[in-house]
Amino acid sequence: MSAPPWWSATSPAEAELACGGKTHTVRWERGGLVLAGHDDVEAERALGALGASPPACLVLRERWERHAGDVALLTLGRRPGEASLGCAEDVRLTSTTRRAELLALLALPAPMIDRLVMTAAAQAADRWADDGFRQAHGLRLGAALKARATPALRRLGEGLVPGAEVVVECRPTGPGEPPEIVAEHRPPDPAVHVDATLPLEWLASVWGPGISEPDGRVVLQVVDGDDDTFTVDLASWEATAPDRWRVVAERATLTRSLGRWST
Amino acid sequence: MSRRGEAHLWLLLEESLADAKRAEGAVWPAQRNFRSVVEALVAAGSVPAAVGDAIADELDDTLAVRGLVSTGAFRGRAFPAEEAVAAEGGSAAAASTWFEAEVDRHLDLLADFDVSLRPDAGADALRILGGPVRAFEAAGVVGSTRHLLADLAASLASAGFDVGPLVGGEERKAWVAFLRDQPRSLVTAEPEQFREVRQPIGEVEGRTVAVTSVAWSPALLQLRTTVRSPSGIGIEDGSRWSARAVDDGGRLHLGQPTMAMSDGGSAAIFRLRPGFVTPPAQLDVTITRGGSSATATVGL
Repeated sequence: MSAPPWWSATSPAEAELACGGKTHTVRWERGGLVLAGHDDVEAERALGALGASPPACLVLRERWERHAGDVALLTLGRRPGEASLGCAEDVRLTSTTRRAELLALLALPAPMIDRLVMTAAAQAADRWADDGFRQAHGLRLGAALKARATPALRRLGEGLVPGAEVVVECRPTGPGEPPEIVAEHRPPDPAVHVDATLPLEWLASVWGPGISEPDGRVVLQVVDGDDDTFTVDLASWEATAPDRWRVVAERATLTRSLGRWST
Repeated sequence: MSRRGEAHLWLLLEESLADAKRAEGAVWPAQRNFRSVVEALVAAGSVPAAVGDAIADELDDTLAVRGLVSTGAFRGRAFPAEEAVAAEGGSAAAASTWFEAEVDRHLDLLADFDVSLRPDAGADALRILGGPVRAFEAAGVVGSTRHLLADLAASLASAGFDVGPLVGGEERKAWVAFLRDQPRSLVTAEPEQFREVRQPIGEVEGRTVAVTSVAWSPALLQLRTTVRSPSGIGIEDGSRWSARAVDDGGRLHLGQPTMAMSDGGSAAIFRLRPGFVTPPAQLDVTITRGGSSATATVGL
């Protein structure tokens, strides 16, 4: 059994773009952009190479692909509880500075921005085994993971000691390591301390598509599946000593019905 | 190699973003506090300046994407990853030096408040200064900053400011006297007396600093200095310099780092308050830039 592609649980999204005097639809699905108004993208790209002005849709896709591995998108992207984000500027595709290119992408509809950010998260996860990449960007990515996982981990820890504050530490696992979550209550400190390591993949394959807490349970990782049915590992507490716990994985089936995920 | 300072900044960015969202419109305190922590960690040598500035810009970018600041604030700079990887651990002594100058700056600002009208101004100052102290602790360059903050809280309380519960700390008489005196603002003050001196102060961030003249009036103490680097130009960035003087009666003279740069960037004027009517026999002058300072006695 191998984990499905990161985008498996993420629904398609669309944006409309003025292109060649018409309004075209740019669609994100299965991890990439599909240009609905262009039958022969390669031919149009070849014309562009010969000096013709490239269509706006092609320019957008080129920029998407150029920035889809940009770790800065994890800092810019949505956090838990944020309904939307994006710049109010018109999409300007003429300028080629990094600033202008990012602004153009961040002026897309919020669901498209989310998918761009998830793509960046997935590419970062793919490169996580590279020592140089981890050295250069690990601190940023660790903070990005913590910001997004903390609310779910806090809720996970809330039931351990009724009424106790829950303090969460979270960082990425090392390359290839499984997730690990432990909790401890150390009186007289009234707080419960949850210490978690999660794979960086969690951002793109679990948090991004909105399956991190189906029915109030925390999903650790997606194990298998496609479309509307997935096998996942759910977090379940097991006491290891008085006032100490660790999470064990409980395998479950997750299904989507009417846009809602449940176990 | 330690990158605890950078790690703290990335986590603080998340807190600052949450603060800015809660503030709904008044986001500048979150930006200001973040910049203050960046400046502190850069001064302590815990974070390279290029890295600190880049993360501060990314906070602005993150706010712009949410419409909390204008899109014009979006910079979209590439992150200097190579400089981040090459970062060193920092220095507790430099952290203390920067923090002491920052305490001076806040004392100078607080002296403009009427404590009976704004007793909460003390708590605001402590909250702002608490950010750098936590950052130094996270970066492992604590030095004397926690003690200085506790002493400041005790001194502010003694001067009548509402600072909440105290956690140790000793009142510093010179600070309390400075606040209670409420020395006049220097907006229109001009020196009346002048004395030429030639007193080297020392090395500050590789620059040789000397006081060349002292001028004063009852409101103002003005120090004219030369600041020379091997390149000749010592003052490129006036905002990061500050000066403090303690006279032989133990009286404190503080000033915002407002300086007139002249002589091709090799001279600067520091304006401190209060001044004096009769000049003291000597002044202990401290000149600070970032995490580096030098002190010397200037005889009058």
